[in-house]
Amino acid sequence: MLQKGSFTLDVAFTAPPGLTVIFGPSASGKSLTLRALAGFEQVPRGALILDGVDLGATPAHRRSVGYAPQEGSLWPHRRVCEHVTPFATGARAAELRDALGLGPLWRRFPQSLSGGERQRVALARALARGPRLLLCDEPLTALDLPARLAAGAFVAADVRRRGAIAMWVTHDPIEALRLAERWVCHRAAGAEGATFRAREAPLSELSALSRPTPAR
Amino acid sequence: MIALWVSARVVLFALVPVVPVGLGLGFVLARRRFRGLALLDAVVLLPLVLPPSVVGYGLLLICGREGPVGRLLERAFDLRLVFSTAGAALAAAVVALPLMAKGAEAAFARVDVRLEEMALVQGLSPWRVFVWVTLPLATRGLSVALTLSVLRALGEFGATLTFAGYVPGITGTAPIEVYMAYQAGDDAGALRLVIVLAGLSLAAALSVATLTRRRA
Repeated sequence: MLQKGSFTLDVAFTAPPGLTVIFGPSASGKSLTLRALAGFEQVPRGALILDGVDLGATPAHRRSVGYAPQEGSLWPHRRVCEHVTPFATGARAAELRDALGLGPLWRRFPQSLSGGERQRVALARALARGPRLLLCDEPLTALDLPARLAAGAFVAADVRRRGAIAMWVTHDPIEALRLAERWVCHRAAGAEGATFRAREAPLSELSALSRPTPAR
Repeated sequence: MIALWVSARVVLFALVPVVPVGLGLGFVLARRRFRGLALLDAVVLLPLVLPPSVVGYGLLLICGREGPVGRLLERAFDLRLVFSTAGAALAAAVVALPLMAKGAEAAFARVDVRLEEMALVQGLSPWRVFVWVTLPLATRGLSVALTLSVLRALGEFGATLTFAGYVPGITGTAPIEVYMAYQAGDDAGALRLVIVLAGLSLAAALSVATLTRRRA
């Protein structure tokens, strides 16, 4: 159970290794779920279990978590390479650089990057340590769909190979359907409009959402 | 001109506690939320708004030969603050601290918390996050705070005279010697110090004005 002001979010799901998409309307608490998992928000009631350990008692910097936010949040005083190499082995850094197309940007500062480039750097930073839990909050919104799917497929494959868990927030049903092995849906609960519930849902429901709505 | 040497020593000694304590207080004021924060804020600001003679008298009550701290220092270390350079430095430190703390608070408040969160989630300890992200992104604001507190320490007059008294070459800082020279009818001596102090202050004030005007 998560709370922020009058906003209440009731989250209950289990994510196996692989990529789980978190889907739901805007302001339904998707980012709040990720921020709680990362350790940026207090969880007043409930438990976050990763590999059998309750994360609630673990401070953010001791959790094995990677976080790629929508806005990138790159460090303005550090070059692109300094977002990856301090956290990765040489081989891992080179793998991420090539897979996410960061080669030409490697020595540049965030100020000179486009929105899509920043998001790719943020994704590489989040992946650098090979975290057990990867949190991606609409990580590629500034890219076009093919580039988004290619980067998403790389992330999904990387996570699966390492037996790690990725939580991928998106509001694009096509992206969700192409990447998801499972999905969690945030839905309004109660009449207040400030209470939301997050539960795992069957994939068939997601594919219904991604079908184009017939024109009237 | 020995007064300038005394002033330099007083300012340097004053900075020893002012810089770390000011940085710490500034960080707490900018980042922590707890009951009593407003009270702490007010106490930090107090030496800036109190008449300097009141600050000096307060220091006499606490750190004078009859004060609790003063008696302890004299008994344990044979250290007497009254009529000493250390005493003048303490008076300068007390009045300079609010500018360092409030300036550091403003500098830290301007650093995006999300950039710190990203470093934390990458596994950097809170202390390393401070050194790696917060401090470098706050350097400009911190140099303004440092310059202003050095100026305030250099210009200290009332609290120093009240607490540490006037001993030429020991507590006779440049501002105090200006007053003493004028009282003794040595107009040329007063003017020499006035020109040096005005020049130093103008140069420092100009550098602050340039720093605060320049955009990232």
